Amino acid sequence: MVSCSFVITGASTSGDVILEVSDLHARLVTEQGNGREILKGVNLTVKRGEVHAIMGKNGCGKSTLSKVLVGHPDYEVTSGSVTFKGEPLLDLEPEERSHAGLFLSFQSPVEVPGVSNTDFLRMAYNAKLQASGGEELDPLEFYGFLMPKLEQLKMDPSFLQRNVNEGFSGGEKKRNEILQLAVLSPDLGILDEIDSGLDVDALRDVAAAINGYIAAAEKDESTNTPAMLMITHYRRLLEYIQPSVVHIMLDGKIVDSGSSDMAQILEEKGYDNWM
Amino acid sequence: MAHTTHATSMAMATHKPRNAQCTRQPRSAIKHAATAMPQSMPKSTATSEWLTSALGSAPPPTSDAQTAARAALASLAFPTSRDEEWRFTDVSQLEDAPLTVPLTPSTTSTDDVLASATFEGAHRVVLVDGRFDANLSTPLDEMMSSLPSGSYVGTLASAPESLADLRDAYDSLASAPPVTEPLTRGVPEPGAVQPPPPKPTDVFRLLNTAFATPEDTFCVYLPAGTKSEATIHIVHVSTAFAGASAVSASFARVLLVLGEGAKLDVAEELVCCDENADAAVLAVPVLEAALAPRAKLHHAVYQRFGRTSSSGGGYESSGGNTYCLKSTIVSQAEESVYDETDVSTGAHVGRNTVTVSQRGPRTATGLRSFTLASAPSQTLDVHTSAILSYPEGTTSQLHKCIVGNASAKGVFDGNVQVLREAQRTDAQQLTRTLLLEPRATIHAKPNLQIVADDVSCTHGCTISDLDDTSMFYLQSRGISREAAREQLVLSFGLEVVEKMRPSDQSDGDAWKDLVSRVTADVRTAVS
Repeated sequence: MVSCSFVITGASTSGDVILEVSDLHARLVTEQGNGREILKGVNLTVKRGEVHAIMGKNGCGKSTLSKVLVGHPDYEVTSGSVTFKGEPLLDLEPEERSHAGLFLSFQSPVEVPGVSNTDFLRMAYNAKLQASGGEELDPLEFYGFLMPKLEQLKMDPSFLQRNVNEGFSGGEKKRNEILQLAVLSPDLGILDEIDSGLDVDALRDVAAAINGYIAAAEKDESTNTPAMLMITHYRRLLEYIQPSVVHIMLDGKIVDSGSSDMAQILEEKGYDNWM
Repeated sequence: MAHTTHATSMAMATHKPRNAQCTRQPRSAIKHAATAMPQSMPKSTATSEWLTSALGSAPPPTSDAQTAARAALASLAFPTSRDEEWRFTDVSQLEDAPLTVPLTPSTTSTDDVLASATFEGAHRVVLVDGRFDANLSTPLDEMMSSLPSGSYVGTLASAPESLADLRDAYDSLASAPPVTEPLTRGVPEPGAVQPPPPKPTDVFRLLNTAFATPEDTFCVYLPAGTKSEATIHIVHVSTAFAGASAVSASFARVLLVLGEGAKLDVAEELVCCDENADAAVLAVPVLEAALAPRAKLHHAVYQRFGRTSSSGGGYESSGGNTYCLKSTIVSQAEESVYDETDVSTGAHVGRNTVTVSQRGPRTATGLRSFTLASAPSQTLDVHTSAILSYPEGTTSQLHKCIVGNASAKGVFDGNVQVLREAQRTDAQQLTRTLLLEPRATIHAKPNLQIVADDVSCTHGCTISDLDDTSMFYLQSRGISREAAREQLVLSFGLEVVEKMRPSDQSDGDAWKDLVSRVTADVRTAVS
């Protein structure tokens, strides 16, 4: 069962390659991190229209991978390469990666007191428009753009007047991340433990929002078909969102990849199966 | 952090956990040095020539309080850094020129500064150099007719004799010893509550008492069970009427008396013309409020001396040689609610001293401040004192400060006293400071004195640059580093600014003028 080569066995492999990670090594550069190497040669290929899931134990590097991809300053890439939509990714600033179409849903979304959700979303959306040479939207135009997104995610408009994540419950914070995802409509959305800290009902709501987003994005001919990369500990999330590919990550590497059946094997035999 | 101090044989357990004196280091991590604070500083007993000569121009005393204030001042020294209360706030330059009070109305045009002080739908009360100006204010009869029957607005001198509550409030204040609490309404039953220790004498408040006559005291009185629909917007305008030769001093005094269950929203705005005058402009406004049981007072303060509001362009001004040393003294009877939000951006030296005394059970006090010291050598100081004497009182405090200039500093001193009878009280205090420039300085001294044993008291004090995680969060959403930084600094202050608006007015437009002006000013200052 142990396989170090990377083979996609999922069903929907027909799209273009959107993300190509080759032999990626990265270390933590914070004082506490002590320069410890966390990613030890990650290989990963994601194509348009695919939903990937990376599963692994605490500390295996799966959250680090998501942070490195979006340019978190706590990590330094020591070797390897990443191309996103055919272009080198690693030299870009975090905001440039966002403009290029990469999005990370944070495990612990940050509270921004004093700034309303609607202003924050508009600022982010306008930054994206500006980067692509488009005209910025004024508050009224943005409202017209935003309302269908809210309806699509079945979110209460009162969400918009509240300050970004301030006083939000765990479930509300995660749904707010999905709202940002829907507004920025990235080519690749990375969901870092979107299921953590959620009870069953909240998880169902969040998963429904994600599925709603994917379905709407696929229908929308004006945007490219997105891909998703989900980082999770638990199979439970995958019951709500069907992945096309499941990866097992151990000690800084992806050690196996396969269809969603892999999650079932993991459930039965545990990570020992790959150790 | 929850601290519960059990009553012991000691008269009072003092908890001074963080006496933080912090200067942002140019490169390395911020040092959070806790230095021991001497319990009592040597106090100079020398009298001050400046004070004695200032008193020479005070009006003849018309009340016991004025007599007492004059007597106290005659024996006091001018505050220096050797006084604990003035350790970090330097007012010594005031002594360079003699103090002068306006004998005739100022000739300076107040048009521009008043045009920028908009507040749609509010009753405007303008005090120029401490004097009520009827021509610049909403006509008094118009205010009176919109207020509930039995209310009063106007000077204390013109108040009808029948308003016993108003007179009582003034008299009890007037007869109170100047060194302790100002309002002695609802005196605790004998033996029930240990009286608070006397506080050091505040020279500037005493000066206000000595100078502010009943003609200078502006009052708002609401009888029991009534409520003012309109906000009272009090604009204090200071001018450099004395020119270059003397300190232009003004002593505005406002008295708010709310009957049982009465409800009032008040916004004070403090502005200054002629901020570039050679001699100092000194404003010493005092606001006193007496809240009867279940009364509710919402109080917002915006001090922007030497700053141009919203019209733009005024923010590089240093605030000139201006001093705004404000005191707010509140006495709360049982189940009353006092809610104060103070935003200060202007003046060379700005200080707001807020003293709240809870005089009955289940009393609620909310105190917030946001100070933004961004001009060279600017000092902005917040002193708060909350005295909880009865059971089940609450105080909730949030004090934020941004120091955005290498030579500017912030000062915070937050004292909470929970006396023996004040069981089951809940006192929360949080202080947060952003130091944005190398060598920018904050002196923060939260201090809790707790005698009761069944209480929940917390305090927290953080001093930092912007949080990296927040920066990254915004950047990851496509917002540039510069824009993210500006947004986060603004958001830091807006958390307090938006509380200037009463919570029951969150949907209305009534406070939009003020809150959006303050927001725009803060945005200009931090960008």
